[in-house]
Amino acid sequence: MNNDNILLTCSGLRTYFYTDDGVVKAVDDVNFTIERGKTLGIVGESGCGKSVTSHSIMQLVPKPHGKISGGEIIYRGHDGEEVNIADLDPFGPKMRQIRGNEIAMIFQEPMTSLNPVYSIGDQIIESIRLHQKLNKKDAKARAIEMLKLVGIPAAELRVNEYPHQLSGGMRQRVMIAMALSCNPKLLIADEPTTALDVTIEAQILELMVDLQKKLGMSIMIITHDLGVVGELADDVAVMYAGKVVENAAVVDLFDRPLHPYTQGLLNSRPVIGNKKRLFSIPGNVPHLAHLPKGCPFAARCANAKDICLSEEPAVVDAGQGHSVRCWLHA
Amino acid sequence: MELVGLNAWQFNQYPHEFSGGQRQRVGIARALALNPDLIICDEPVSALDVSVQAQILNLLEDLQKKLNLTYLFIAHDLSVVEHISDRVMVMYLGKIVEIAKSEELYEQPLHPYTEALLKAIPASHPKNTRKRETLPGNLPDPSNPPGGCNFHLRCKYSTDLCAKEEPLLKELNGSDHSVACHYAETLSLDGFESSF
Repeated sequence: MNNDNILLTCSGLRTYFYTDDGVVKAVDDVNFTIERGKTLGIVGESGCGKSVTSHSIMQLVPKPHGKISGGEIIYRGHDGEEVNIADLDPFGPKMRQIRGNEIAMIFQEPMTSLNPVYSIGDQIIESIRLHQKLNKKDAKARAIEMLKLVGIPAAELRVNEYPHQLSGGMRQRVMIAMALSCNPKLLIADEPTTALDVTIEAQILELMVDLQKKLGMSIMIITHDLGVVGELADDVAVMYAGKVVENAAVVDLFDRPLHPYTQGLLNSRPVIGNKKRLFSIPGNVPHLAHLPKGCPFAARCANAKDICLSEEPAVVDAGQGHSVRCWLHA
Repeated sequence: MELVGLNAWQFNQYPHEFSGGQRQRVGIARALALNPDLIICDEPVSALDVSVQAQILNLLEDLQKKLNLTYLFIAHDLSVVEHISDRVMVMYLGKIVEIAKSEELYEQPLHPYTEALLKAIPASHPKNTRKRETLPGNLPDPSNPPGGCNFHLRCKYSTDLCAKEEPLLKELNGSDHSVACHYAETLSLDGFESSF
């Protein structure tokens, strides 16, 4: 793979939270790359470390409990300069220049991510003025243009409205407008369509693909909806209990899921035209502060062997850029 | 509590001590406590992960068999709706536009809005090249609905009649399939094409 095509490389990333309960290894030895203009999907259940991974890239891990304890996040900006985000001061000028400007993020909950006491226009204008050095009038025009781009009707009027005056879907559009307003190189979308209706979801995904073609940005989409991943992603990383358990090109993953957890996720989706009882993975995600010995998925895995309960599996290369962390394939 | 797959020792726990799926189980237990005949489920699985969603859907189906319950199941995920429902009602801007048996609605939709919804379902495999068609525009403002058929501004089949006259919900040829569209009998709409 040509190095120039890689926008961001995460290697051996560890983000730990030091709590009274012990060390919570929310992200533990996570590796992936994001290519320029491509989309990486990150799939997994709540509490598996998807969001903490994205917060680590943005240097938004809550202090003082949370800390990037190891590994590198190498970001290659437009001029080819390499920056290790993991080493940057979260409040330093370099990180502030990257965050929001070069790497932007759409958060999971549009209801709580918007400030209720400022109009949506003011909230978009704030980041435009901070990063793009536009005057107030031009920034407002840009904000209106962005609102139109994400399909908000009567954008000239809506720009002065407050978050509570908008529906959930509209608020998510505002979040997307805000994230895209500075033409980021990487857009991190954390469950961007989970709260939206199916027709609106289709519109938003189409919008994201269009904008990606137009602006050449990379997208990292975090979701538990495998349909969305299939639609949008080029590559997929499946996470479980803070680790990437499987990493593959999207078609390869759907054709040849190797990890029992990935297989379980694919099988538990309801498929139209098939009313059979759904497959469900038994049990729950283990608590990250009290992970079992061995493979964290062993207790829920139908194929677990003795070694799965005693030793942690290493990453196995399955060819064609497909890798899996499982003893069954070692 | 045991009926919904929780343990009796969790009786004294607080909501924050449960996971999302467990909280939904608590919600179901609370709904069942007084032995109702009808349970209204308002988006019961939309906030859950797929694997937990499968657990909850299976639980709802088991309880329905065991306790002979009726569900009014509100959701926007069409594959979930298809999975759990016997009959499906499609609403648009405060009005029922179509109501039919589940299989029939998915195979042979009669309202253009239903057709558009089915076309917006994400493909279940990335190799499946079925073109996902998106519906233009947004839901109109309910306080200021467009004249005639509520859907005519976004409908690719609409004519002058649709802008003028509001279609009524009527049952078609003695079946259990009702639809509110002037052209329900003449349009030939596409159903959901199964991916495999």
